[in-house]
Amino acid sequence: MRVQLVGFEPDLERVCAAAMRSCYSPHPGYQLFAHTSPDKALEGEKVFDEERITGLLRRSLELGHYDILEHNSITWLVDASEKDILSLLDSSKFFETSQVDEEKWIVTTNLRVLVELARAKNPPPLSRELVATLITAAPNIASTLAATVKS
Amino acid sequence: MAAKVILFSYTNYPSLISNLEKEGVKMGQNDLLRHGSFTFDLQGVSRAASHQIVRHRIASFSQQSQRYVKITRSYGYLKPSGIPEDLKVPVEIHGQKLDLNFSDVMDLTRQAEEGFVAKGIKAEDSRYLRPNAATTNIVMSMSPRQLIHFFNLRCAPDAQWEIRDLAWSMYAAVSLVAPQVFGPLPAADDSDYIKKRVSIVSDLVQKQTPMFDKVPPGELFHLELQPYLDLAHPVDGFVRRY
Repeated sequence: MRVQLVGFEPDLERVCAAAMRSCYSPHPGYQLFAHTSPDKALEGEKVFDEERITGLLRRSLELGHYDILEHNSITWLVDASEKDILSLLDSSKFFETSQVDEEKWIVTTNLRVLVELARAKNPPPLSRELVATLITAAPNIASTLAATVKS
Repeated sequence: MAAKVILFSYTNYPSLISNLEKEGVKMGQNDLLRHGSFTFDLQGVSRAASHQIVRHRIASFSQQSQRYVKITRSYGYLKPSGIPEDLKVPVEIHGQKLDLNFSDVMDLTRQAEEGFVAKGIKAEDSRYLRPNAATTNIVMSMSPRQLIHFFNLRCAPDAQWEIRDLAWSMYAAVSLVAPQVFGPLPAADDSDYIKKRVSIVSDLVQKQTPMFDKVPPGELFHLELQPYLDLAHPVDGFVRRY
């Protein structure tokens, strides 16, 4: 099997962290997302820097609040059999697939599904290869997951 | 205060299409609709409208909590333009007769909720006084396929005015960043109202694309919606440029 990452939204971790914080802040999601400079104050909010984003995402993983990880899409070109794709579809309702060739597929899902697959006891074989690409699309999530698995 | 529709994260289709083409894969229209996501920050939306929005279940939502964000830190409401500001209705309480307009009633519910909070009642209980007009912020993500379903229903002339205004603003925003994905709405085939407005959106997008293209990456572009769309309430549209 071969998995190639072909698309994901830029700053998708910052989007998810802003969406998470927007549930608990008087400030809306975009204002939080754009709060990157200490020069401009946003009352009661820490600057949305890497440390802040990592902290919020780590918290969402600790609490199991995976819904905030749905605000994105990640797409791969995948060489796989129908059986492998079927087992992937069976693992989550949030997959979209297009068959390109007999054993070639465009596969799309979101960060939530990848986190759930990374933590699944018996994940479908293809999912390990999809999860491995997290280091590119969502490096903070990938390192937090790696640390959790080791501990 | 005007509602805001901010498209701040979305699939970079030119990049996705090009990455697949390098591998000899050409995306058809159906593939474009499946493999992508658009994330909006909807600000200053009434709870009446947000209840309708979240009924579109194949989507993802992060909505401001009334439990964690107390009324004293976030308060606003949206008065329907169908209710005149000077229209008063008679009410009676404890033998006292009053004539109140819409804003008066909103002010009463706010005072009562803040009063309960001040007396130590939990926010999760005192918020039960919050009216449907109370505004909220909600981050929403949908695939193009779901967005088109949303637009077909909510851009219709018989849709409720607030969600209809939001739907047209969102349609204009996605048409600006992903014209290869969002063409005319299927519902335009059966409705002259939708057909006419789709054409208005097409014109306003065409007019504003050169300005959008000059916006520095990462910054917001203010998409002019009025007077073209003749919205029923003030909505400011914004699109983040990649």
